[in-house]
Amino acid sequence: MRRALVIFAAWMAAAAAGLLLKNDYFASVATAMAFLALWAQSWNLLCGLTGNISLGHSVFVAVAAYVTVILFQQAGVSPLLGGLLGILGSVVLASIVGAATLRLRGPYFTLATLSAAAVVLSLILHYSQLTGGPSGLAITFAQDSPFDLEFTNVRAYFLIATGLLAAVTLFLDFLKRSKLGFYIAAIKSSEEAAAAAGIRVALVKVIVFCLSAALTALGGVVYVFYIGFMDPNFLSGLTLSVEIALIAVVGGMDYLIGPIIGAIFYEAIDVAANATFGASGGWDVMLLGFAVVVMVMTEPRGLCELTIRLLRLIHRRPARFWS
Amino acid sequence: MIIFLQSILNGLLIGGVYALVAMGLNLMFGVMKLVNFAHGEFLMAGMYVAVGLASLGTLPGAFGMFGIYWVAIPTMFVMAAVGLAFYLLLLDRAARFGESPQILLTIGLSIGAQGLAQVLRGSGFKLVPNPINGAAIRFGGLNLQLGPAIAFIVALAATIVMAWVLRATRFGKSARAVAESAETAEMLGIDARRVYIVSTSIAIGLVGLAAALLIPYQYTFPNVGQNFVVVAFLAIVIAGLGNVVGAVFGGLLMGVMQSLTASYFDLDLSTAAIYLLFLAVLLLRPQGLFTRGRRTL
Repeated sequence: MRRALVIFAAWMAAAAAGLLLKNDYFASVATAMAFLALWAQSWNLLCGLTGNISLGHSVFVAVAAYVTVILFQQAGVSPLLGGLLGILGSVVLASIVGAATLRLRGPYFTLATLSAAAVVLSLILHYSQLTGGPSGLAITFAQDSPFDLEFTNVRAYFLIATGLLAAVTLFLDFLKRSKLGFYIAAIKSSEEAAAAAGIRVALVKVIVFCLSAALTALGGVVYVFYIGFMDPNFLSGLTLSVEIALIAVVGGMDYLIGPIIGAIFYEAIDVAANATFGASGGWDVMLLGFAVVVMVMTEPRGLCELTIRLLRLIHRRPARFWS
Repeated sequence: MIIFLQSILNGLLIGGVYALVAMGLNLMFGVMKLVNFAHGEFLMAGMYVAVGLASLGTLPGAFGMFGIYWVAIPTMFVMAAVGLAFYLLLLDRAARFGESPQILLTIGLSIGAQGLAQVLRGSGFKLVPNPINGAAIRFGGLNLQLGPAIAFIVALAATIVMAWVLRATRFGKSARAVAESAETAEMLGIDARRVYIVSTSIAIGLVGLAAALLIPYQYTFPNVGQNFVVVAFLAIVIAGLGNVVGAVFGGLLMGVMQSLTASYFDLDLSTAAIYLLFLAVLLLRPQGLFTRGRRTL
């Protein structure tokens, strides 16, 4: 209950800060940050709990987004219903990939998720009559229509994204202390022991993967209406998948707030690089990638752990000095 | 019929480069149990090195149109040195980290290197003008693309050399022992770290060779590695993780599948076709198509 209040208060504070942002550039940065944090948190639901690294989470964003928008534009299905179908599509995909790979030991899962992104991208490009091919689909609207997820004020999307982020964070916290959460903890400490205790290891892992995919897809549905344009190379690209994963890693996979810290860090790099070198590109992913390399080599538990150690250091030194 | 034969031929020729990339991946996985997710970026780096060397000039007249291929040997050695640095700076410590941190390390390196290439060289497409690009020989109604054909022949030669190295040399025997069990090998007096160092250098050197073979007919750009490495990842699982010579057949099979789907359906569907085979192999024969029993490397 106390955690729920803390998370709710944090959301309120973030929402207020977002609504007070007068500068449109910073508002868009804050919204991008919220979506990345949402996806990284959903990704970390899988990796933080089971340790399985997915490098294909952009697939779930892309599948949900395309299903929703195609149903909306071609058949007039409301995004609220279409979004559910899109999320269902992502879950089906996740269960197929998960069932084939999560029962095996070794890097199969990571390889399978990574190449799934390439497959979905090529399918989007192939069925171009439906998906618009490489040029993508545009969503245009002139007035607010909340039930179609259409808002002319982009700050509405910031509110929704941070709200979803708060909800996912709360859900993750709840999940950790649920029965499924204890199963997962048992599996993480020893698969053999968990299996011997009667836990169906592969099934639990597939369920967690599907949950993670569904939450990622949920973010994807809202995201396309925010961005108003679907670029297949971005939505189903390897870069987005890797960004989602590495943001959670940089922040710290063992902490609820880790992926959020990671997203703030990444957007801060992005803003600083754009201000210093212009928007020529490359700087943001380069710094993120090398930050992860440095992090794995020195403090694999991420920025959160680093901050805690730093605080401890500052806190402790006077005590040691005087004693 | 002629379309079918032409597709098989094209596929085998494309597959040569996949084979070189996949062979290095499986060599590293075999001895270190590590999937190098940055492998494609080493290919990309090798291509930039090769393009840089090739723009210095080509060999004079006696070599005819093949003058650009002088870059192959230097690129291979430069990349082998890069592989050595990669091992000593990162993998040496990361070897103790376990699987997840190793995946994160190499994927971080991969995207970092893509960003670096974009920062240093821009996101433009680079190609050194040369007579190999687009050149083809016709025989019996079939069209033989010269660039891919040379890449295929060299890849085949490299495979034979690698198979011999693994079978007959002292390093090869040590590598096979380490692949079986690093602990037992160390007890028998084999220096596992040395095997890791040499394997990484060879793997990245092979990618350098592949890069030099690609640049006459393939554009170089920061994300170029992804096009090859995703197929190579699927190839090594389909062939069997850790099976170095099997990876070559895996690479060739990927090329043929790609080419056949491109001829009869659409090139866009080829990754999906390969992926279906990949899922089928994982469900029915997770040790891979070309791995028998417990054989390693």
